[in-house]
Amino acid sequence: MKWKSIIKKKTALLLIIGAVVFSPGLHANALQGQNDSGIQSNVPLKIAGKVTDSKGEAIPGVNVIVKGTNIGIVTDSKGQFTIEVRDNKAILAFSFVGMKTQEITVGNQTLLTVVLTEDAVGIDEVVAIGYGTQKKADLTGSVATIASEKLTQGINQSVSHALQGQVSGVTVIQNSGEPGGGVEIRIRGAGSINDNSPLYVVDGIIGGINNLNPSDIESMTVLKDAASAAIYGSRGANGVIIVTTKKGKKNQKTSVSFNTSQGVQQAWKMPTSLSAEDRNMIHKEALTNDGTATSESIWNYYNDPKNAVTRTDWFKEVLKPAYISNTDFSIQGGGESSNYLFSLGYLNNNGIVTGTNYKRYNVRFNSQHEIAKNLTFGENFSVVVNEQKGADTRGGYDGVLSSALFNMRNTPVWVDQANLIYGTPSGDFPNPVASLNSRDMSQKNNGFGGNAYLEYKFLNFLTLKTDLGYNWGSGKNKNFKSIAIGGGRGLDQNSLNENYSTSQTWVWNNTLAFDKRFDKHHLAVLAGMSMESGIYEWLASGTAKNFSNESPALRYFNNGGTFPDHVTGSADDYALQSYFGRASYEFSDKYLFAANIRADGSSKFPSDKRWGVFPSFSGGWRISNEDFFSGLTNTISDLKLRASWGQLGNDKIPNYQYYSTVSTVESPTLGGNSFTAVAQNRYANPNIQWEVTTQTDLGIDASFLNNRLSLTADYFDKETTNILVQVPLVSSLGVGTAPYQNSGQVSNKGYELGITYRNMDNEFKYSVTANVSHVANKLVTFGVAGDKEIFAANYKNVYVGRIAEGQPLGHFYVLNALGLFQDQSEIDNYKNASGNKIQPYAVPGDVKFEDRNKDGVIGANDRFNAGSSFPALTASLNFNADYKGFDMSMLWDGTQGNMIFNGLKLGGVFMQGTGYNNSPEILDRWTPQNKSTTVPRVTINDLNSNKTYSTLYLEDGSYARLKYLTFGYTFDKNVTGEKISKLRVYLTFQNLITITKYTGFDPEIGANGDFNNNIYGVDQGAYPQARSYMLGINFNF
Amino acid sequence: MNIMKKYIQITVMAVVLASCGKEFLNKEPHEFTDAVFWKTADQAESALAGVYTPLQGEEGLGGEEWCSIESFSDNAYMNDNYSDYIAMSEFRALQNNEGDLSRNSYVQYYQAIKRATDVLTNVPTITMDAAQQKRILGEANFLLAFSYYQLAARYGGLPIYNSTDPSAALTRKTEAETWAVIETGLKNATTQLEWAHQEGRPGLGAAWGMLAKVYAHEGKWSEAKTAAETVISSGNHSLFANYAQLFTIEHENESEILWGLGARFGSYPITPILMLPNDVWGGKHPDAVGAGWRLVSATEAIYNAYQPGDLRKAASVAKKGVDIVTFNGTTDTIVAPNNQSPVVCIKYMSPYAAAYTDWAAGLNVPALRYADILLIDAEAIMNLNGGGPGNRTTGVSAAAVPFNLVRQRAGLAPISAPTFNNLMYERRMELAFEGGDRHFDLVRWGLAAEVYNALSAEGTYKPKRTFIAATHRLLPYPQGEIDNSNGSITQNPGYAGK
Repeated sequence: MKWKSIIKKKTALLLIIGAVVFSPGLHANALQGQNDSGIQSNVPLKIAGKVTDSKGEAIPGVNVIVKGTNIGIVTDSKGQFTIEVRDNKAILAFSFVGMKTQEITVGNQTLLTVVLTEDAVGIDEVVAIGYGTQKKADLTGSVATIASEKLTQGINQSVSHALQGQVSGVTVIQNSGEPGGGVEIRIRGAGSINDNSPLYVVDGIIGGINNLNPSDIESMTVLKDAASAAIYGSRGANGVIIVTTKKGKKNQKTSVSFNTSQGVQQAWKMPTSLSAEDRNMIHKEALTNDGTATSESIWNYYNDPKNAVTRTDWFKEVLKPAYISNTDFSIQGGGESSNYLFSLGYLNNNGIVTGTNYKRYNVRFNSQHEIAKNLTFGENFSVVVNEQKGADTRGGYDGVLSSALFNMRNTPVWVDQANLIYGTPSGDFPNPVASLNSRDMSQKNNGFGGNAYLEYKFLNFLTLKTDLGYNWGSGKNKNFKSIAIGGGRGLDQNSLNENYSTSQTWVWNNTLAFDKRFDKHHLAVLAGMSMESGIYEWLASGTAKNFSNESPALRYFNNGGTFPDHVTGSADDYALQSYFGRASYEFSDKYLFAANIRADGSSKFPSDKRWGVFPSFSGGWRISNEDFFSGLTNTISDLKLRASWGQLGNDKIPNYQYYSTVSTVESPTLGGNSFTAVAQNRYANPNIQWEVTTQTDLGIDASFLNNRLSLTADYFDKETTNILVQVPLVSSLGVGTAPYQNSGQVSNKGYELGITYRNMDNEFKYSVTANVSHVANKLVTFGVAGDKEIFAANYKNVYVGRIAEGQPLGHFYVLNALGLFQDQSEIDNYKNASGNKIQPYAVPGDVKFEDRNKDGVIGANDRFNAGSSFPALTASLNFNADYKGFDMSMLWDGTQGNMIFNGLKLGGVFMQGTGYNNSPEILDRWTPQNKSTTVPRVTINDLNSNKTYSTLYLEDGSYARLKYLTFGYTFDKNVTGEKISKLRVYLTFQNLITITKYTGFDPEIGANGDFNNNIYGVDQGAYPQARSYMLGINFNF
Repeated sequence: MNIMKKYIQITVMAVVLASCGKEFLNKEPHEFTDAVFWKTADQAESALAGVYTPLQGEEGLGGEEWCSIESFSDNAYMNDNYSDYIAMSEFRALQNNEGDLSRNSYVQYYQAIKRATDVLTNVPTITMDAAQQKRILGEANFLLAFSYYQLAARYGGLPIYNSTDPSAALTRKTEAETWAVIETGLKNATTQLEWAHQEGRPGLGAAWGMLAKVYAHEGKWSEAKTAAETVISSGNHSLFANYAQLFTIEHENESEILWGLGARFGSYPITPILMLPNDVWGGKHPDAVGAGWRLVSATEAIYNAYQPGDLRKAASVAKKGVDIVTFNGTTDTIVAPNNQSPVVCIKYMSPYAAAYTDWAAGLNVPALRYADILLIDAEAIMNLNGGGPGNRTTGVSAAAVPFNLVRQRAGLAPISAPTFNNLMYERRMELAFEGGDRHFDLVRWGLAAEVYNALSAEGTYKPKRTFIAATHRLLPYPQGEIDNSNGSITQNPGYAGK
């Protein structure tokens, strides 16, 4: 009700603005008239000139503007321009991305030579801010940009991967090092309890970034605070990442660029497991500890000398060096009225787990055409094909890496390789080589799409734009398992699953922008509307089995011996409709104000809760432009204070939450046959509505020493209310999934600091950038009567994490291990109030757990907040240097203060049975001779439940990693000749150095799709990041 | 100017059009919503089928938990390393943090309960063939009661699902109230089902039989006797001559099976693989090594307890290095090195006799058998005639007929006046490894402490246990349920926590 009336008011307001702006002849003509009838006393002058860089090379595409007017042109391919000015008092402003803007008073000159110098800070840089651009200096929100060259360091599977360490406040969490593996991006912590991923906007169209070719990207902008993101209203709560792809430039001569890099990658660390001899010793000790009579048959295995021989290093069998390559090609150019860019990209990333692979093929065509005076048509079109060949690396029970750890090393890979008979595992984990060889898991995705727009500029200060985007994608998963004789559980039968899906989305944006300077005033206003709709349709087969011939060519359903019972399929669709507006005002280059408002209607909410209105306000003060500051500008070249406040929404929940549906479930067997079955599997929530984030940001931008040292610092306070969360239901409600509810409040507070020092004046040019950010978050309240906590992060069916009122999100919730019992008296003295032993089954060497709730027994209620999976600090350090054609760059990235739950300790150091091998850490187990250790005595029966999840599983997950280290050399023009504009060769190391105390495979473990979003840091044998060595070449002509 | 006007007009039109298109934001699920479902007989049938689905889950009827519950008795032990479950089965657990077997079976039974309740609520509103409607309601009532029975036998008083009052799911009813709900469901089913039934579905025999079993739990002996004898006198059910063959795919649907949960090749339930050793021959013969899940295995105690000549012994258990079994096309002495005890449960191994085929072999689960009901009848008669757990040596000749039908089928000599001790033996051997009857029987008879506490340790796999009736007659309530209810669901007496 409330929203509705606001919407009505809002719509009315928009119509009024529209009417005023649109009414021809009134307002607009009046302004035009003023312009036309202005000071025109003098004869116009024609000015010609050339713009070069400090080396004397022509710069095409430089904006040349007559200051105070909207008259402007762009330099041609030779860097030349001609422009008409009113009189000799006119001032020409020359601006170009990455260069200092220069202003020249015409005076008596008619032929100008302008030398632009590189801008140390990029203060005049123009950044994408959502439905438009703004000068960086005029920004009032917290916005960060990433230049294209930062995204093409090393071989990155996706743009998301390349973002790591580039911007303060942006955390990139790699879910695994697997080729094609996912990445999670968080901007300023986790506002919500569900999906915290930011909104991605590519060339103005909302979509994803993972299929983009990193080298197609011109720039990326991250909108961090609410005021900046507010123009995206309902979906901006987790921040916005705006991607602008490369385009041809006006009057640019045709240029061709070819880049390739080739390399090898390998595991940065080789895990190990116990040798057969050590395993025998440990297992025999466990049997002895458990009092297992030597007459029992279990001893036979260890007494058999054949089993004391180490035959296999499973990790070496599954982790092998792999070849990687990345190649791209582009051609671009432009004339007076048209420009274009065409590019091709190819990535071939073999994984370090044998047989895994990710390939991506990209094609892009972007062009712009001025089809009539002031009327521009443009399009960005791209095609992407990617193919992933995976392996089950993360499965808790059959993952390749956990299988490599838990398989006995006396087992050979092959018993009889000629007849393809594998060495049989002793436990449930399959022979990892058999598992890799027998699984043919592939995923193929195809997509095409882009946008086309018409832009009309009129009256010199209005721009009308209509932009239609469309994307189509299809995905096919195929999972064939072949028989691996002797390979172990699950490999005794072949089977095939396939599923197929298509998705289509379209977006239509219409905007009208007003941009005008009046003397010292600069006012920009934008009004717009947007409609968006999408549908996802899927089809999944059951399982076909018993293929009589497993040849890859015959791995299709038609050749199965047993067909699937039935196929399943359905669809999901959504629609979003929005109205938005922005006004920004700048006075005298000193005072900056901006306001945004957006109203969104989403099909995800019932009609009476559908609309949300999200406002924001921000202001900035460029103190350094004040007169009183002039004395200081030698020291402090630029100083700006910023403040912003805004509200944003989040609707990242599945569709149709306000309907309860009756859907297909597994078919039972009735009358001997499968029978189609349905059930209501979810309750409806008719009251579901927007999650709202309110964020305040205070920031400072400063430059010192003639822009050599620059600094950006922000403090933010983010409060998310009406959080969309699935509060787990008791099972006695009989449904599998809990409905989303609006419940609770999360607070995120933090700071971000970015400092850059650069020296570009000498032949040795270098820059150092350090980024640090800190976020502290907390669940303020659950907002639901009764519910105070949600258990999260299920590892092997037991929760290890919790979300609870008053506590930070993402904390581990396990028992506190006080240490190991050193002797019987310690066990006997560990008594409760009634004098009973708290751990009656313990013997020396067992774990002593803390009875935190003092109820006299150790139980689930003794679990406590044992530390956060979120880091206290994330930091990165970027260094670039350039000397006489040689260049060098490196990026360090790291976290501090986060914990990792090392799941592989279950089985690794806490024995799970005689069928499994263990980690080398178990050698440091407690024995009467080795008492100062944290590894408990070895036992299989484990009557004291040492293996219960406790602080013994938690480790410090802090790390510092040299993500990239690059050395390059650019050949001199004298060597390459005039035709070749650039020839550079380089050598890049990725993940060369990792510093961490974490003992698992890799400290970057991310989250698993199965896990609750807010518990990261549960390591169940994640695919390690690879260390790679690459040689590359950049070639432009 | 004219061009500009045109564009302005187009934009204004677009804005106006967009705001008018209210329909644009209405998106409906591409699945049945409540508004369009529950209209036809076919929909009623598929919703009823949905009640069977969770029962066939991995931890449902015939699944892992169903096999594992046997380890609470003296018949079996957990061979796989489910330490939290083992702690419960050894009466050491202070809480139920077992998140796999116990929790998932709880979840699956409640899914069946909710779905059965939905059928009972909605199917009466459908215009359809009256006989079909009655059968659907009868099956739903039976499955509802059967699911509550499984949970009540384990956990005691339960939350009773109510489709119009979700808060009912947040508190436990008393045990008496819970058993009354079970009784009502079965009584309703007896008015709705027919004797004739399809394979995999319950008929009237199952409804009356289950009701007899529930009455026995409640100690309502005359009602139990009447209910059991309604099945016996119907003439629709009889014992199948060969005990061993009852657990084969060929004979899984004999009239003795009052209700068998349907299984088909390649799909759950998967009882045979759960009990199969993961290395039957120890390398002596070709074997699908690693295939068997060897989740639960038999104790030496039950092996030694069979009376000489009891045909059920060879059908149920085999001793390593002693007994001969047929598996994967070979007949030889069983080796099974990865089973900890000297004895293996082979009751469900027949589907793999000729060859190892699939982890889901397609053997129906014997959920309720006529033999069980005959013994309930005998037990009721004993209790009504001076016998019973408190009077175990008194012979009751009136119980001889139903009792000896079962006993003689097993190849043993009839007893003219069977005692309660005789009955205990028959129930143990007849129903061993069929979902925990031995344990539930001992608990309801009040004899669990006496029987379990008298046993000495058997290897390290079946240590000496201490059963305290006040606590251990019920399992600790799943902790996740207590957590998710924020404590409004309470723990059973004697266990730790809220």
